[in-house]
Amino acid sequence: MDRVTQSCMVYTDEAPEGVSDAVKTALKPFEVKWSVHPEHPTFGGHGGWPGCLVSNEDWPKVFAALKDEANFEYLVDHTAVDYPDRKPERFTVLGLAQNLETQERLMVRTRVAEGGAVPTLTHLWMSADWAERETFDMFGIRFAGHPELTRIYMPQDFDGWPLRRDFPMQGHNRFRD
Amino acid sequence: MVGPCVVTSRCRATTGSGTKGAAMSDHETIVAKPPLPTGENPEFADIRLDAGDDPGERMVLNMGPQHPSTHGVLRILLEIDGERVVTAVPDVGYLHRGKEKIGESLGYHRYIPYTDRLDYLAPLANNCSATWAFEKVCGIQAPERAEAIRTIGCELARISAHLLGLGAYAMDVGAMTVFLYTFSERETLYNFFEYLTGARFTTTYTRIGGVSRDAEEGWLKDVRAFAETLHAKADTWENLLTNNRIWRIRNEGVAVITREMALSYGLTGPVLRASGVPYDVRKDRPYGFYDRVDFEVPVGRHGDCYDRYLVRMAEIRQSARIVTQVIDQMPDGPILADEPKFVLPDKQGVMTGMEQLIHQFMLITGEMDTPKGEVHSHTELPKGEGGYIIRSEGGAAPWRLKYRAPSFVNLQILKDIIPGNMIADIVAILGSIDFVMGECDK
Repeated sequence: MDRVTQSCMVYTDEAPEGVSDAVKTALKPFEVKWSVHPEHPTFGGHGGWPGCLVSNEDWPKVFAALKDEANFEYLVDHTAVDYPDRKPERFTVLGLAQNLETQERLMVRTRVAEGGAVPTLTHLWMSADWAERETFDMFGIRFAGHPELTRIYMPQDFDGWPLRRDFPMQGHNRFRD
Repeated sequence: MVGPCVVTSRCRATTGSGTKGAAMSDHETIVAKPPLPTGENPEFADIRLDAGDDPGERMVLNMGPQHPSTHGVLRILLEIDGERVVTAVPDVGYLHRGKEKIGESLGYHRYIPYTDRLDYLAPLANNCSATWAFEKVCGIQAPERAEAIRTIGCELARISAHLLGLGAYAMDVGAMTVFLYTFSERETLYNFFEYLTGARFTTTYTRIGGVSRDAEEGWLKDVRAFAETLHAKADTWENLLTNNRIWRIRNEGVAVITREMALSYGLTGPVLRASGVPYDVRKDRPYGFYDRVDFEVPVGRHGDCYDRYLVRMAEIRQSARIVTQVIDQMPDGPILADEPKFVLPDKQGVMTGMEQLIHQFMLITGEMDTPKGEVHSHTELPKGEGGYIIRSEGGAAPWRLKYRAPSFVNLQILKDIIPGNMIADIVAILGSIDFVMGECDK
């Protein structure tokens, strides 16, 4: 496996095309960096949605602003990406939210180090409950304020975080190791 | 564009007002959100239920993971007071096979067979969903004819999945006959799948950049004839259920999901549309052939189990409409894109030519360099909106592959809608949510 020390995403200060004014207004109070796809500059429509990078503290506030001011009432998906060799923040947490009337979507990202915690979104969407439990189960990322952050897929006594890049594909062999 | 149509049964307003009214007023209390299980919440403790102040009156019951009406390995912990459920905690993960990890290890081409085993009631739709996502990663487009065949496959898979959901739902609630009717149609559909893909169940039909085999004219003619007779057959099934007195008493007013609840829980598919939200990816962000066909999005009004049944029934008819229209507009041409950097050569060539054999070997063993970037591709699967978030760092395998499983998201609402109902209602609720654990547990 090649070592990837940086994510391929490139961030700028200027909002890309396709981000509506309502979203720009809602995100004005926050420090937001917008992503561009390095090799796919024309990704849009169904292929890839505009995205941005925010700080850990702003993570729930950005979603609250999107939900209240820009009418993004549907949390489509929630996950994380692992870059074991990226310093200091190893993980990127992703949340995709959607406005059901205009069909606009925004991918919000935040970065967190191993052992760090990201504020929860469960007060905004009930669907964030299991979504964050899944991300916790697979990556070991903690979500501060989550009512019941336990494993959801793996057994409660499972050792390790399966979807981290450095977790062995065939799992831990307890007879060999 | 045609607006959403509201499904209603013909005599809904005139029958059973007494039963219905009583049931509906009960719902004011039923839909009230129960508190989340409290306690110490140690991170690795098993799920525990709070017995409350009066533990002597209540008991904890495990429904599943082997209960036949849980359609797989879903476990629900119930805290019951007599016949009435006080707390319900769904527990998933008994079928977790690590599909995402497998995808990150094997790469794009070799992941497609694994998608058959996600929603194993609609494998063709899953194949297509994965391939659409992977084509976006590669930045290529499948030819028109391949897109048309995929669209037919998706809709036949939807019909097949809804028929199983409907038959199993009716059987769980006590109507055995419907299952026999719907399964004889599923047999026809499986024959179609077998003829098109070579397999009845695990189809593995699509390829990046197209499909593996062409659809023959005779097959298209047979499918079109089947789609046309489906409306009359749907009438038969509706005659068995829609105005069946027992069916309506068991389903009307049970487990009402309001619009706000549905959106907060991120529900999609027929479960969301039964609550009155006309959200359908096929309509709102068309892909494949869906922008060239005319169909309606059935929407419910009340959000109860009965509306979810009506929406599914209406969707079967709409799927038949889509299939007929796509076959009428069927374009000619190749079924694989001419993109040798990403697309496998056709099987005939691989079996007879050295160059093609080497080419196939290289692509399958990982000599493929995809562009870097992040792709979001979501499609309308039979259970709801499903699809992929893929982060590519080059190479033949995704750096991160995330599958949004509609069944997983839809199941979470059980802890809100089961409490307050009787134990016997749970089978109706599970049938109306219509989930597949293979997809939920990934």
